Amino acid sequence: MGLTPGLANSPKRKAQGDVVPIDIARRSAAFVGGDAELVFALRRGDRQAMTELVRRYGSYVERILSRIMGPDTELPDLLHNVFIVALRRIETLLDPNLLKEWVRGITLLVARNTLRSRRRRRWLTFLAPEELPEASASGPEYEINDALVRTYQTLARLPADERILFTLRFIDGMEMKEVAETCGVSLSTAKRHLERAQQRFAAFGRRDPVLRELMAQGERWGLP
Amino acid sequence: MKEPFAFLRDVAKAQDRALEESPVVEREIERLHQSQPAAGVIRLAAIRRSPRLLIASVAVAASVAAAAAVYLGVQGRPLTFAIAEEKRGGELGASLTAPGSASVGLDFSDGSHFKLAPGGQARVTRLDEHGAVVQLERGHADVSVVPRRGANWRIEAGPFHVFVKGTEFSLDWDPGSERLDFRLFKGAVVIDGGCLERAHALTAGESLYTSCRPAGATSSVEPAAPAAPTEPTEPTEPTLSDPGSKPAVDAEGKPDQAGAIGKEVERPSWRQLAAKQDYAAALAAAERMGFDAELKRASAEDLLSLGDVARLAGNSARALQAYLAARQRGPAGNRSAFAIGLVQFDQRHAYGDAARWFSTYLREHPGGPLAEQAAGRLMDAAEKAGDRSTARATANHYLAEHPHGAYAGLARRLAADE
Repeated sequence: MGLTPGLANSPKRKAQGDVVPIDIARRSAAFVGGDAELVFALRRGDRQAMTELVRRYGSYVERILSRIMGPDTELPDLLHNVFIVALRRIETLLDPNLLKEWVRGITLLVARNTLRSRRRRRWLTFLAPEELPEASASGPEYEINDALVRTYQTLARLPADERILFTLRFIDGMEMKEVAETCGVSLSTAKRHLERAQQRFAAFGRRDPVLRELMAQGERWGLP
Repeated sequence: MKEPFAFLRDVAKAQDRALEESPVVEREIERLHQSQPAAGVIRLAAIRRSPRLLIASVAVAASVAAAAAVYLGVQGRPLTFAIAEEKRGGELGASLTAPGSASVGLDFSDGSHFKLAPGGQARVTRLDEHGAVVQLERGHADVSVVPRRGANWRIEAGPFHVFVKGTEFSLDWDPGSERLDFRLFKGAVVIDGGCLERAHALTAGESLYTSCRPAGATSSVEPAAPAAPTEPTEPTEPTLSDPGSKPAVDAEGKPDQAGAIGKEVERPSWRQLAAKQDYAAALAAAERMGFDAELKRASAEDLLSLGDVARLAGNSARALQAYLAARQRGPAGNRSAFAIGLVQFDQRHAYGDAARWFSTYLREHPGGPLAEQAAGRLMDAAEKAGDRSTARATANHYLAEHPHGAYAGLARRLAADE
């Protein structure tokens, strides 16, 4: 499909190793200002602005990454890469007022590249469900936790772009229009690919006894 | 409306609960500041992983999920506790006394732990689904409270109340002198009561010493004694050539006579000072706290930070001590080899040692986030050390992996130098 996340202006690819100068000697009070001021401060190499960027959008980025990646020990590294890329590419952001959308676009790019890279090495990473370690706990929330693990095992079988669309729509609960905007595709394209993702997830999910039952419950009872 | 994926909303809620407790964003702020090399630049570090690490990651992720299930499972039930040494359930309200030669540990059902040092006395006076109230009647205790949503613990020491959500700390209470010594290692707490004029919020690394007794009592913190450097223990690793430990100078240059009688004293911790980029003051604060003690008790992550503080303060001996201690903590100290290489390269100009440490980092983390920089530094260090064959071989490898990397120019020059 070739999703192009980041509506505002997707960060152009630059050669690896490009650097963003940071004035490490500059010390100032906590940053105050809107996104546009923040962008200008980042371009000046203001360290407080760097902190503020993470404070302002760190949780947002973490949530998106969690939705797409699921329980993932690399999540802190992915989040780090999102902000490293953002700091390197800050000069390419044309409209500073669209900082949030721009960071979101970078987040999707980082997630997508990671998923694709993992799929290329899936023969190394994929364990059949029966080989995965069992969650050894019991309790009122055990079932949903088990469902979470199984959901992301199933999502690991979807192509990266379909996984992103599916998780944003059905786990994060975004509206279709928002999903399309976030992924940088038309609404009709997003719908078409989401339809395919749904079919694929349902097909793989039916092979898992827990997900099969959960999906069947949804089909029987629908929304509360 | 039929919706087969409706259950995914509950999946999202489970994720949201986990995110509420996540420290990732705060750590990212520290990490971003730390990731800038001395030259003052940020470089993109591609994430690559070894196959073994990939498989391990899947297993670890499953373990994390299992741990989350345990965490979620204890929500809603009143806590229980057991006396670790006696393998029996503890009794609410009963006095617990640690004999003069052994400590007594209380294991709570949420994973929290209260360790009463020899000679101490305590009792658990309340247990509910949110936490417990423990009275320390006298002596020393090390406390670790597992962070949970809605957690509400209170430790009482005489007239003082320590309000806790999730954290690690130690405290001493002497009813005779009415003196409280409190050290916070992780998390945050609020201390109130006694003769304190107001509640005090403490964050990791801070201490509070106070006595309610009128004049006559004494209170002080001894300065840290200089310590010998820690040597690397693994024979396959490069060794340090005479780190030559020297203690950092205390900012005041004298013992901290903390707490005039009847007053509490709070000082910024080395972590707080490091966050303000005042590395010399941060190192001095670490020395005041006891640098060697910090080496023993700090987590691998904190040890790396402490090493950074010492390095940026220009004290290479202390930096090496902290980084080596981080290495001994295992995988969590995974960038320590790179950091030691930086010290050897930038501060000691020991290029041969630097090359060995950068090489160690690359061997341990071939796809690590600092691999590109480590390869570039290795090439540079090897050349400066006169090891041209290593420099050339690394240059060829570097160009294949990072043709547009920051060290590509140097790599091309070295590769052409056949």
